[in-house]
Amino acid sequence: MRHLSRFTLAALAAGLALPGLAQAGADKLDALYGKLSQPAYIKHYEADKNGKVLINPYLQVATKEFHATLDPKSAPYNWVIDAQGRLSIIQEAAHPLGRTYEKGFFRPEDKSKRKPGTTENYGHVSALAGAPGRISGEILYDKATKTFTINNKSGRYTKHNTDRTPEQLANAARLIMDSVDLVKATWGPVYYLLEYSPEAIQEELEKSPKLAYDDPVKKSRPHIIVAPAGDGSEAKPKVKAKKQKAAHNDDPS
Amino acid sequence: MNLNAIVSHSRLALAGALIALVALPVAARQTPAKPTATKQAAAKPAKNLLVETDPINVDGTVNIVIVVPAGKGAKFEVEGKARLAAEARKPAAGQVPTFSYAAVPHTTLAKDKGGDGKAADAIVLGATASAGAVVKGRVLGILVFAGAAEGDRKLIVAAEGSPFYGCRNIADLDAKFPGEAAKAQTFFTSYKGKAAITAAAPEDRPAAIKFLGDAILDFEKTFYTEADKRPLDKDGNPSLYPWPGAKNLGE
Repeated sequence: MRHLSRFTLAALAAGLALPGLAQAGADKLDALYGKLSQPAYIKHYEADKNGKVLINPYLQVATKEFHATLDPKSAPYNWVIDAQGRLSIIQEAAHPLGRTYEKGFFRPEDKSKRKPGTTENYGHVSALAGAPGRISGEILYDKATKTFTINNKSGRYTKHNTDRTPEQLANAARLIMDSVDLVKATWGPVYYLLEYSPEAIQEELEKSPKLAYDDPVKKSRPHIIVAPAGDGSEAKPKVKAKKQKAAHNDDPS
Repeated sequence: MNLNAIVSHSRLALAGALIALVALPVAARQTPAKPTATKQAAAKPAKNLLVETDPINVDGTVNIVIVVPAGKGAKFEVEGKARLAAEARKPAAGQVPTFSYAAVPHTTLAKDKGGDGKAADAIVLGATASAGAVVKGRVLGILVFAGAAEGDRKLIVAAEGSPFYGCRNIADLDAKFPGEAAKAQTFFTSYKGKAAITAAAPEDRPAAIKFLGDAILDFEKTFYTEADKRPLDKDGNPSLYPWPGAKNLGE
C-alpha cells in the first residue's frame, strides 16, 4: 500500500510537472529559433483542390542523430525549423500543380513582374505541409569556393516576424551544420539578410560596422555575416563569384 | 485527376484489398485464384491505397503499402490493367522472406527513365502488419538488381517502432544487423531458382531520397492535370489564394 501511494504520488507529480516541462521545452525552442508562426501566405498552386499543401517529395528531416545529406548537384535547398526544433530541408523542384510562364507573369503576393520562363516550384511551406514554423531560409551552393552558404531568406516563415534575429539564424546554422552531411563541399559563411529581418533589427544593423553588400556600389543584398565559413574565414570568396543561384527562381518563398 | 494514372497504378494499389479479400484464402489452399473471383474483388475496391495514401510525412518518414507480409511464403502478383488477377505461387523450400514486400504510394518508375511504369517497390524491415496495411518507415537505402523481369531497384525501409528504425542508413544497418540487407539481396537473386537476377552493391540513403523523390514527381506529373490547377485570371496571371492556416499577407 505504501509503495502504491508512493507510485501514485510520483505519477501525480509527473502529471503535474510534464506540461510545465513541455512548456519549458517550447520556450527554449522559441528562444533558439524564434516563435512558431503561421506561413505568411500559401501560393495558389501549393495546395490541391481540397486545400492540402503538398509536401516536397525530396523532404529530409534532420536531427543531430539522423543526418540529412546535401549534394551540390541538387542545390539550391530551402530549410525550416519546425515546431519540435527539427530541421526540414527540401530541394528545388517544379510543383505538379504549378505552371511555367513562357511570357512571365504578375505575382500577386509581392505585386512583382516575373521574368519569362519562370516556373512555380515547391516553396518553404512544402517542407511543413503549411504548418507553423520557426526561422527559415536557403542553403545555396557557391561553385567558386565549393561551399554551401546559409541565409534567412524566406518570405513565409522569416519575413513579417518580429523575433527572427541574427542570433536565431546563428543557432539554426549551428543545428544545420551539426545535422547535415555535405557531399564534396564545406560550409561557407552564414548570411543574415536585412531584407528579411524585422524592421527594428534592420534599422539597427544598417548602422553596424558589420554591414556588407554583395555589390557595395549598388548596395545590393545588404547583410551581416553571423558565422564564418567552416575554415574560420569571415571573408567572402576572394574570387568574385557569380551570384549564387537563389532558390525558387529568386522567389522569396 | 488523370484516370489513366489511376488505372496504371491500380495493380499494386489494389493489392491490399485483393489480398485481404481473395489472395490470402487462396494462398491458404495453395491453389491458383479463380479469375472470376478476382474480377469481383477488383471491381469494387474499398480504397486505392496507392493513390489515396500520401507518400511522405512531415517528419520525413515514408508511407508504404504492404503487399507481401514477412514470413508469408507466397508472392502475390496483381497483374493486368482493366482485368486484375491474383496469383499465389508455392515457394521453394527456404524461400520465405524475412522482410515484408511493399509498394510506395504516389510513385511511378517512369519507362522513359528505365522503369517499368509501376509503383516503386520497397522491402520493409521489422514490419508485422498484414497485406494491405499502410506502414510508416524510414528510408535507409536501395537494393539494386539486374536481369529478369524484376524491377531493378527496391527501397529498403525500416518500419517505425521496430529495432531497425534506429538505423540511419545502409552502413548503420549492416553494423547493427549484420547480414540483414544481404539476406534480402539473396532472396531476390535466388527465389526464382535460376541465376536470372544479379545484385549490385546497395546504394545509400541519399540515392534513395533522390530515387523516391523522382518517382513521386513522375507520378504526380501525370496524376494532376490542368483541371486540378487553379485557373488564371483573364490576363493569364495567378490570383491570391487565401488559405485558412496562413496569415494571408502579401510580400
